[in-house]
Amino acid sequence: MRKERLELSRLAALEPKSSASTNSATIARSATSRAERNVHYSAQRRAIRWQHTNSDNRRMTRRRAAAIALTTLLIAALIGELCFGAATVPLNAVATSLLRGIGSATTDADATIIFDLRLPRALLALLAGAALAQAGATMQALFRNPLAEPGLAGVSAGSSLGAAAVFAFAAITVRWSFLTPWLLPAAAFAGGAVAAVIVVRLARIGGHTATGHLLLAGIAINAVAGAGIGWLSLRAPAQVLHNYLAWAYGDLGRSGWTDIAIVTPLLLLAIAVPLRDARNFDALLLGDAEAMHLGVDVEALKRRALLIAVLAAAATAAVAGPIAFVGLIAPHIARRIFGTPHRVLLPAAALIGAALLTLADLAARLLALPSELPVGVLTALIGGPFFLGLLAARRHVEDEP
Amino acid sequence: MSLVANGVGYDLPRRELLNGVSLSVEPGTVHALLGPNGAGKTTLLRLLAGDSCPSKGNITFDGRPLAHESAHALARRRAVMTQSDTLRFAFTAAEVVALGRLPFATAGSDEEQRVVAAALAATGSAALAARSYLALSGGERTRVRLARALAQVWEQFESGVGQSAPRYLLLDEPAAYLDLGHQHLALRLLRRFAAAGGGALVTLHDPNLALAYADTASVICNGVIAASGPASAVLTPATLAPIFGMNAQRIETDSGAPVLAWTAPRDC
Repeated sequence: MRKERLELSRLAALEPKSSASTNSATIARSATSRAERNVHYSAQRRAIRWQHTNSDNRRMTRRRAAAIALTTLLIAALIGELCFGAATVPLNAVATSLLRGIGSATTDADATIIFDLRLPRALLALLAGAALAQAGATMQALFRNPLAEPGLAGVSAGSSLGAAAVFAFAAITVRWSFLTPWLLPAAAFAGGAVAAVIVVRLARIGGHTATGHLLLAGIAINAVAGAGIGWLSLRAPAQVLHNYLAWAYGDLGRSGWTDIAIVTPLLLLAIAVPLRDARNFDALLLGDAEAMHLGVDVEALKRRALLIAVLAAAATAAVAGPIAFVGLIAPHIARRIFGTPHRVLLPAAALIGAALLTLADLAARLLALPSELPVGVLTALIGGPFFLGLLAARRHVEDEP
Repeated sequence: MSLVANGVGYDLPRRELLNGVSLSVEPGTVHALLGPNGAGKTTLLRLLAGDSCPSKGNITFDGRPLAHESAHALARRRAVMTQSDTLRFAFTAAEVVALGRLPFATAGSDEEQRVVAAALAATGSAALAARSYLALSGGERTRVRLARALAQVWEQFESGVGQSAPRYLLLDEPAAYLDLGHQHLALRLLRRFAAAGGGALVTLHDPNLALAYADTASVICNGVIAASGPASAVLTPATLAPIFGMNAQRIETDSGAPVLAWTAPRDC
């Protein structure tokens, strides 16, 4: 790294010479000075090509190694999800169960554990982690702020309020108890979506979505939803409050195949849609007007970014509760390893998000055996200090692309 | 074939920013826009860029109303360099310049890399290519942003005058933050652009830069055009002295363009 910078500074030493030569060219536009300049330019260009290939190659090698390491980590975490838990299933038993296929009658206990409990859970961790990371990266581009996260536009707060309402009024709706498994995800998703729609409406000024207003409206919605949740919790019996809190810290183990079948398309959309807009998000980082000057339909892009946040945050909340920190941290880690351009950043963030959430879920399941920790507690517990460490190490980040 | 403002006015709720402004950016020429702070230079440039619509009058782009052009179609024909420098993410300088090629959908291609390297070299920023934009000085950032605008209209430099669809450059104070040598380098690039058949509008604070490099000039004051025409006819002590509240003297030089020497009026 240091060596690279030394080389750069040596190249930068060429700079004053270039301005000096251009200066003299202004005064005397002689043929010799022009020839000199041309020679100088071509020397500079050669130097750049050399420097490019040198540092590009090194960067590419580093990035490829990181991508391989992260993929390995994700696969290891997924295998861990299938093998470990209250009962340990040996790897070969996992393999034979998987090979026998979903269609076969699963009679033995191992196969039941794997197919009905651990496989859906592992898949959900993978998809939700990737989608939350993707939503985090797009929100950070939308707000041009590396501290943005998927819940910033009020989505998570709206989901929580919807869920709190279901818990609080569950006693009333007990007559339609067959609806209850559907009620919670539906209310959580609807709450998040409604919050996002209100925020977007409030932020529209003269046909434009003002990013600053988006942030303020999101904060206001967060406050209002928080007040609603507080009011509902205070008048609820202790057991209901406990149920809500258990939900609010996130649990990937709640969902079965039906839930996953419903949210998978939504999460896949949240993962795939931003990839197509990678370059437009790059342009958006320069500013709204600058992106427009580069031909980006800024309004449509902002709508898509918010849609991605709703899909990822509300769909995750619907089946697993709100999960904090993954959407904030994964893009940060990705940016540090893979740079700012979204063409590489987005897939990298998705990979890191998937690995993070799978690992956190595995840890949540193993750390407090025979019971489980809420995965949201784990992501915050690991994520918080990790984030602080990242900030401490970042003091000179401006020097490093 | 030109970018024209016809009697344009622009109002904020309690303030009139522009009134009856007419201006034309012609292919093959550099037009300089001068005026005191808050005179309406940036507002006019924004209207010509299509950021917002004028409250009065209209803007045409090659004879068609500017509002009818899509952002994408416009981006393939004109580049804008604004004054805002709000980027807070660690793109490298080369990555910033590469964004200028976004309207041409060639992400990561050899062609893109060639244009990016050429635009960086043209602005004297070649050595900045791999450095983080956030670590650059104000002047270096300005050069990188200028290189991004040039990369967007680079075809003009290569295809030259014969091209059927001339490109336009709208630059808001490209000379700000630049050292003397790079100020002249930036303006010489505009001359090269115009010589290749492109049309440029540039806001400047230094009348001497405009005298040396612009074909035509407009002076804007309090939202109206105070004078417009050939640069040497417009940028005279008689026009500029009252607007800027300075005393000016015109000096002929050996190298061609006259310069204005400024002195502050004596305080009473």
